[in-house]
Formats: sequence, C-alpha cells, structure tokens
Amino acid sequence: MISKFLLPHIFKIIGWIIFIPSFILGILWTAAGFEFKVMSPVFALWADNGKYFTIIFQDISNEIVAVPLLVSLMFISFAREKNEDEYLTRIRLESLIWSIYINTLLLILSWIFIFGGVFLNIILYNMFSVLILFIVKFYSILYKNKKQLENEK
Amino acid sequence: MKNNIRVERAIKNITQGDLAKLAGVSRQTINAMESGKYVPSTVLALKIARTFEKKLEEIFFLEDSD
Repeated sequence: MISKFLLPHIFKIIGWIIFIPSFILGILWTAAGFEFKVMSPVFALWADNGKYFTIIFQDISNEIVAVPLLVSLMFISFAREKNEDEYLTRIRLESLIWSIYINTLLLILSWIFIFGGVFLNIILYNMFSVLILFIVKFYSILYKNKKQLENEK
Repeated sequence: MKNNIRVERAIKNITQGDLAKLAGVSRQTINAMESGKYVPSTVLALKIARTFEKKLEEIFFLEDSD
C-alpha cells in the first residue's frame, strides 16, 4: 500500500509554513543575481579544486534557500490526505506520471532552445519543477473533484 | 465496466456520503465510481455489494470494451 510511504497529514501544513518564506527568499535571491553572501565553514563531500571530504569556508546562501525549499516541497507532496483511499492512490500515481512526463518534455525543449550560461537557470529550476508540477496537478484534480461533488449534492 | 451504484443508492435511500462511510472510502471515490471514472478494487466492490445486500454481479457489469 502506498500509504506506507506517505508522511502524516500535519506535514502538509508544516510544508507550507516552510515553503512560503523559502520561496520568497529564493525569488529575492535570484532577482538579486545571487549577490548576497553568507559565509560559513562547512563539511564538503566534494568541492572545487579537487577537495574531497574536507571542511571549507563557503558561501551557504544557496543552501539556506534550496534545502528548506526542497524539504517543504517534499512535505507538501507526500503528506497523506485525511482520507487516503484507493482512488486517491490512483490520482497520486497519475499526477506523478504526468509531472515527470511534462518535466522531461520541458527539459528536452530547454536543451534544444536554451544555450550558454543561462542554461544554469534551467538546471536550477529543474531541481524543483518535478515536485512543483506534481503538487499543481494533484491538487488541481482534487479541486475539480470537490467542485463536482458540490454540484452533485 | 458499468455499475448500478446510483440506482441501488436510490433504492436504499442513502447519500453518497453515507455509502462512502459504510464502504470505508471518501465521497469522491463513490462519485468517481458512479460517473464511471473509476473501477474499484475487488475488495471495495465486494464491500459495496455487501452494503446493498446484493451479489457482486448485480451491481457491477463488464462491458464489451473490457
């Protein structure tokens, strides 16, 4: 049963609470051209100039934005709904397939039409797009169903 | 696959919400089945048939396209 892998329902709210400031920070940070720096010693598994398994002094502003953003997206995506039944499992699966499908298509188009240093932006967005697409698709299906239910009653 | 759920519900005079509770699923699942958008698992189909005190084949029907 898929519900084995899902997080408790409360994680959806926790996810949104973490997502909103992270997302705003992310927008500000990209708009500022990745300018502001937060320096700190960190443990690097792998870094530039042939460094492995060592402590380096590094700007961690991107970590401060990206990690909470990804974690919150994960929470929102995989928190169970109050009523996880077989139909919802089906909707989850279809939304996941859809999101990976669309994401891959967008990636292919990006490779074909976007070049040079700006391609780094694509790589950056691609890190978040699968989960974002899933969340959009999944909840839009749930919303459509809810509307239909209201019409039925 | 077709089903008679809506008819049986009317006969028994229960709402989608009632049936959902009895069958242990959400109301949108019942609605999806009635609209022909979702084919239930065997367990769910059996539960629904039991709720209506009918045999499985009296509620769910194979179509030629199946």
